[in-house]
Amino acid sequence: MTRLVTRLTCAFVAIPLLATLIAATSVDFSQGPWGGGPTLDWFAHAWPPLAPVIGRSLAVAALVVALNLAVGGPLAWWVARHPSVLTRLTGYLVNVPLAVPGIALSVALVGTYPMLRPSGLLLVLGHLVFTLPFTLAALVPALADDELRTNEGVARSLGAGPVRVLRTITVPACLVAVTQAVTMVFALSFGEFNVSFFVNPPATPTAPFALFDSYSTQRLELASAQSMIFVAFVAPVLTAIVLARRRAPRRTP
Amino acid sequence: MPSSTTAGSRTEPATGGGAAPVVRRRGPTPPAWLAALPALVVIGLFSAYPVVVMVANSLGLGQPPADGGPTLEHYARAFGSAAVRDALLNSLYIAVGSVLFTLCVAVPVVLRQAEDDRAGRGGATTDALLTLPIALPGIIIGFFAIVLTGRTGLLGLAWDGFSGLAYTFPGLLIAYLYFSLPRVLGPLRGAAATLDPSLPESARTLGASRPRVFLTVTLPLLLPAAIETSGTAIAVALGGYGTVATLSEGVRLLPLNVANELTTGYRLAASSTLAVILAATAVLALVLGRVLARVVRRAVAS
Repeated sequence: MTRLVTRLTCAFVAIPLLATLIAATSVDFSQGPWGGGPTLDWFAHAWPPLAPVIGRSLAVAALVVALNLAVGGPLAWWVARHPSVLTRLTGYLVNVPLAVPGIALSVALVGTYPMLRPSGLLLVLGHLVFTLPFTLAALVPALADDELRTNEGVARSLGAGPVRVLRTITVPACLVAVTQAVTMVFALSFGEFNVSFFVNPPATPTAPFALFDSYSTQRLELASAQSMIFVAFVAPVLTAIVLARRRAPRRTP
Repeated sequence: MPSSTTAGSRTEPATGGGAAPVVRRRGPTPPAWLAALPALVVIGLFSAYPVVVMVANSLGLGQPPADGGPTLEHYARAFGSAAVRDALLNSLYIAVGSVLFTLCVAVPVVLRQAEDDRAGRGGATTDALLTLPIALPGIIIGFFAIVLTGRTGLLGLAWDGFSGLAYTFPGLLIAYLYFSLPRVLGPLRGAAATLDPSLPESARTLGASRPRVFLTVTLPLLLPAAIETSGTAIAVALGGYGTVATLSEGVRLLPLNVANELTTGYRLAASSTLAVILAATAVLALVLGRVLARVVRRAVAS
């Protein structure tokens, strides 16, 4: 019974992907699957204009990941190592973008800082505050681990400097958590649409906006090909997320 | 905000489980909260402050030329509009409905996964497939609905009733089910993994039937996590804009109205008002989920 439901659920997730792939490889999808014969022309048409857009999205996502580690890493350390009323308050503050819907946050951002929109700065910062909760969720439990803290204390008492402790003890111990944070943040930023809606620079859209534009202006076959290209870029990141989660030690709350 | 603190500024190093005192001494250690400062500045400036400005805009406290002073007029106009009320109700129906359906599917799936995990059986493919939708933006999920059940959709070939389903209420519900699935499965899976398998097993050996064990042992243990997860997932689904934006010629949901106020003529105050209403609804779902989960957890424990 539970196995059947699991199989059906997997089919429910997979069927739209397969259908989109069929649409992307059909000459005329309105005549049915592979109507007019199979073709790869739609992919050939879709790739050249999409390539620079995907490149831009990858760059934004990479920047957001780097900022997450640079800014979120120390914050996670403070929250994990110095728990107090202040860190609890910080926890609520960080999670504001989880409670406030993305489109509302987008309205809030563009209403407050319209001058930061054309440069793309507002987009990157919007993605940063939207993804920080996920970085914290992954890093704080790892950094709060008692065994890790004992090991760090031992290393320090043996004379290791702070940088050396960080490099040889803390980072290796948190590697799975860091992988989890990095992959999740990357995937979220790469596919982000809601927060970006009013803050993305109109002249230089990210990949989801190119797709959204195609959905209303292009043929279904071409839009399908673009969607499948997008999925192909997300799939490796997703695999990394799943692998990181499978390697993570199970923590009971 | 962090400048007013002294609680975090103790200068001794963090001592973990009986660590020896630090031997080296190189001048005063900077206070620990300094590490959190950059992040707190970013969050304050680009998350908390804009939300405050948004609320101010909705109350007529925005930039003077556009707004004349404190007023509830924008809220009166929003709730007075039948289109807004319908959109809010539709949003609630879609979010709550899709998450409840998701829950019915998710409970058997996580129980199966927990059993497979304990037995050491693989399932990496299942795992990857069921996590995939979380990495897909809502617009792609909306597009999936068009490919399958749009006017020239694939399923329409099998049965005419599927043609155009994407733009109807049930079609949107299914699209949001796809959207909510990984967001419910993820957290619920963690809860199912911590269930003690010996409890249902001993109930079985005492002669209880499978459905009875499920209803009287497994389900009550899983219920608090299910409620809390549902609250979060409903909040996320309420704000899910991409899916309905792609299917915007069909049912209207509140996020569409929020965006419309800005895209068709820049009415910041009206848009901010709807955004505040949407955010308040989402926060309500979130808080309700937490509170109910706590109540049920206490009831189950006693």
